[in-house]
Amino acid sequence: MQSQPDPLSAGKPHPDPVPGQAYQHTEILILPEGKVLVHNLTPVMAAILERLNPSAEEIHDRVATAGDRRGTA
Amino acid sequence: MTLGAVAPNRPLVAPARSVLARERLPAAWAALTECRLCAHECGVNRFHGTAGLCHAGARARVFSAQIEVSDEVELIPTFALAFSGCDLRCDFCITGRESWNARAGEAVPAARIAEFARTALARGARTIMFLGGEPTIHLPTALEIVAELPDDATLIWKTNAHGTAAARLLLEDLFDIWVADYKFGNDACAIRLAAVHDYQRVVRENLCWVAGHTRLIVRHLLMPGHVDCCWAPVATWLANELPAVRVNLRGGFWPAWQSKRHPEFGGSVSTEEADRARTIAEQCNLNLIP
Repeated sequence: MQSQPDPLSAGKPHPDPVPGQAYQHTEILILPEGKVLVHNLTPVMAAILERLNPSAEEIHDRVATAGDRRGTA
Repeated sequence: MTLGAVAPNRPLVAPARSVLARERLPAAWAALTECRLCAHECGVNRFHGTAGLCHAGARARVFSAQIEVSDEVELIPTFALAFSGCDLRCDFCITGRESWNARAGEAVPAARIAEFARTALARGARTIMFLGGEPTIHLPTALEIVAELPDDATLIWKTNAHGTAAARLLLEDLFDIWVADYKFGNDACAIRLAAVHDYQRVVRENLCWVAGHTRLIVRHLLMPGHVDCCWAPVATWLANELPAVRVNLRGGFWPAWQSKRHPEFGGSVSTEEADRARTIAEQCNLNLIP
């Protein structure tokens, strides 16, 4: 019989990402009521989300901040 | 000219941060031979395996390194450098696959990471953020990277605040801003949701130390069903002990990773709970980040 897994044990080994490619990711969760939760928001994804909902202030602040610093829209 | 007021062994000019980091490297690597960087204090030799509770070896691995804009507005855009592995086991971890697996990602030389960071700064990143997983368990690699970074870069230490005094000693004066989680308002929830004992004492000790040394932002992620047992005590303690500290009450919980182990984690935080949490913050007169 197998013993219960140790809750502090590591999971399966994770495949190594390709440097410069697999590092670029944002996670998005769209809830049933339409709310969008975002993790690891990148400037590019912030710009996309702003186009979907220009009235979302939280996203607008982030696009503006990123754009201001980079000289891009 | 008299220097009578200056302590005899104290340098008149503080060494540059990169120098400080480099000077501490031997002690940081030596600490891994009997690791007590986090409050689990396993005491394992991390050069001889991964038997500690975090299962991390000596050399840190990186699972994400990118410019992000999802943190506090005053910190973004930030070059966020995420180390694999963590000393906590939060079932709702949003990066559980990498945070529970210290072998995720890849070992990248410190000089190369520093090069990525410098490029990000040149492209407009305002800050460089060290996070995880948990960066505290990878302190030697973190110091190696700091030693390679420009002394005037704004560095952020994003932590679960579960480190030891030994870790704090190695980190002192290296980071401009600490962003620290205060996740649970009681030890029972900490044990059930993150397999960590003595959570309150350790986190409070760390937060008080950081507040006395550098800029601190405390984050609390609202969890469904945990407004009264977790957020309310956290808010009350912050109001009493660190009333001026900046607090980010985060509402973006989603039922990630192993959340299904807990019946209350079937969805996100309800509007009613979010409103109640904000009312508690207002009643405590917390210095909330908008």
